[in-house]
Amino acid sequence: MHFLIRKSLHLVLVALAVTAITFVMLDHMPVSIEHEITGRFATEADVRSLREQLGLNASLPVRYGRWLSGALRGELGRSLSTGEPVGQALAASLPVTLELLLLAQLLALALALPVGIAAAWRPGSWWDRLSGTIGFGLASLPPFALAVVLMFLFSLRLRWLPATGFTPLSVGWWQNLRGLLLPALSIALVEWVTLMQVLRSDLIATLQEDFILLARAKGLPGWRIMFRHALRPSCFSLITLVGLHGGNLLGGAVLIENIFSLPGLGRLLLTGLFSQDYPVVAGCVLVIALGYVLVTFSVDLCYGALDPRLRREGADG
Amino acid sequence: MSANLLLSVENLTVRLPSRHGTVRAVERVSFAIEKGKTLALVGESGCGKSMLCRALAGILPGGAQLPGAWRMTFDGRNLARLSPKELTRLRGNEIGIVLQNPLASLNPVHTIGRQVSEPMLYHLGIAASEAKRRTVELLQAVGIPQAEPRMKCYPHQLSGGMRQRVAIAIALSCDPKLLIADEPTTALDVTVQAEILDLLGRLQRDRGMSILLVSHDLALVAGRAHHTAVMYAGRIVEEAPTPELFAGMRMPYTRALLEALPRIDAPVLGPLPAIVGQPPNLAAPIVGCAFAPRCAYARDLCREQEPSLLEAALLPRLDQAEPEAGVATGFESLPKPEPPRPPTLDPGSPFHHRYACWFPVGEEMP
Ligand code: SF4
Repeated sequence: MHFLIRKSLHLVLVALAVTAITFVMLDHMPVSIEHEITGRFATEADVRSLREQLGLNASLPVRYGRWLSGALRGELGRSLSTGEPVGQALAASLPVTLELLLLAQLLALALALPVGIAAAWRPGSWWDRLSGTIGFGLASLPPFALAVVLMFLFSLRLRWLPATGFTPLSVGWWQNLRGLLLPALSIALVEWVTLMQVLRSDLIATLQEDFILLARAKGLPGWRIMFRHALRPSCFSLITLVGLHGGNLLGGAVLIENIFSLPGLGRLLLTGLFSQDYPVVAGCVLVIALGYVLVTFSVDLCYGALDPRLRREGADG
Repeated sequence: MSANLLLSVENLTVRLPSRHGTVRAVERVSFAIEKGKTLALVGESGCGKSMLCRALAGILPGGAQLPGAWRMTFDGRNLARLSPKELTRLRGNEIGIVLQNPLASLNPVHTIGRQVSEPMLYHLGIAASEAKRRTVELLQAVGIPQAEPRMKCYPHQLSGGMRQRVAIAIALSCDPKLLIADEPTTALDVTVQAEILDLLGRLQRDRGMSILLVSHDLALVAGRAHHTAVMYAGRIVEEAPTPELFAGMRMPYTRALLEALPRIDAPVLGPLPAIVGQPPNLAAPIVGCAFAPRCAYARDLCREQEPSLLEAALLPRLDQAEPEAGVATGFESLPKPEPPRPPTLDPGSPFHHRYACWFPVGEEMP
């Protein structure tokens, strides 16, 4: 309970800080929403009246205060450029990003776990060296470059998967999956490498432990030692990284979302930024910060589940 | 080979690849353990005793080699003839091992109940409820109070002594015929050390198992072992029934080992007295007696030829030894007859005093 209170306080502070910073930064952007909307041939008077209308004439603290009091009531305002309620825009784009994030993490784990385990099984074996080399090659590619390659290969050449566009889950899971597979793969193919590497090195370290020696002395077969004894204590860096990646992806899949025209959070954020649409940007930032805190919280929970020494209520800690 | 022997090892050599060349961790070692008896294996750290244990328990590190014509017989079975599967089974079932650091040798993320019952469930194929009942019994047998609720504890919730008791319970779970205890008390408080060794003795009497008790502390284990073997640089350099060994240590290293121990009457300030010099690098070839660089008795012959393990058959028996000769201080008062050195060598027989030295302590220098 104590822990939950601390975490919530943490969340509030983070949210306040990032939204305030967002407001300050947007104010210094070299674009202005009123000119975007009114266009090139607008008169000075048009612009002024629009500023008035959008409430942009108030000072920065006043604007932030207004936004904050709205946000506290669950009212995130409307987009300055489209007039759409920000809450609605977020509700539409967040699921896309979450799905992408989840799928990418699952794919990355599906690659990293078996390859990492097999590599740690016999360090220095041909398999270990091969996976290390391939991984190194993949990790040195930026995800967007990989995305372009994948798109060329699977959409344009083989025509297996759509190049762009997103079908909501409500239409059908297969169409939904088809749209997300390439973007998720572009992320996963780069990300699994670091996951595999930390898992491999942690596993190798764990396999040197005395309790593994004892497990061998018990006459247990190798697979049982690996999965029952070695894997769980070797998952900490892996979980931490998955959490970090997940948090990053929440707002950082901008390029991928743009390449594949996915209407996700990253795209919403980017369009908001370029038009100085601060209610949209602030809303996105708020959601991302919330997501980050939630991710670290669940990583903490995972630690406790993995290792009894880290559980909060123990017999004697 | 006597039917009384549980384990006999002949001519066992263990080589380990390393970055600095092949380490000769164990070199042509022969010994035997009688049924229901304890053999103490004593030597400084790095003398190869742990690798010897690991070779017996089948848990050598990857890449280790056992060259030469070795032979191991366990309970009448020639281990070289068993299939890998049978070997694993035998080792999981009939040989239990306790490692030095109980915290490191217990899995931190499993409850102790699960760790004790795992070998039973795996090897004996018994039901979970039966395994649980046996686990409680075992934990009680190794002196863990409130065994039943303790089963749900994790290793970090127990004290060092309790952890080592759990480790012993694990080793005993399949009712082994041989228990290998590799420095079982080194990581523990002095007060707990005796408790654990007493426990091992009691378990041995109750179960009739043999124990290989490995330690760097000659005085600590010798009183509890029927036989004592001293290891140096991968070789057994002196071996005898414990009373005979203490009545007449012949190898200078054995004597140095005992003198290197802290005494109650010595001030405990500063580092403990150690044997002068370093144990040899086992990755480099050794010519002559491995102990020669540190030996006060060394002569040219020692540096040229390696002494083989010889029998001291004609040494005075214990009952003839002077009664006032105390265990730790009795060297000076040893009778010094010059026995003709019998050239015979009976590898693997534990009933004689054997030593590898050209100029043993207690003999006239020629
Ligand atoms: S053989 Fe020589 S060097 Fe080796 S222990 Fe005996 S006296 Fe010392």
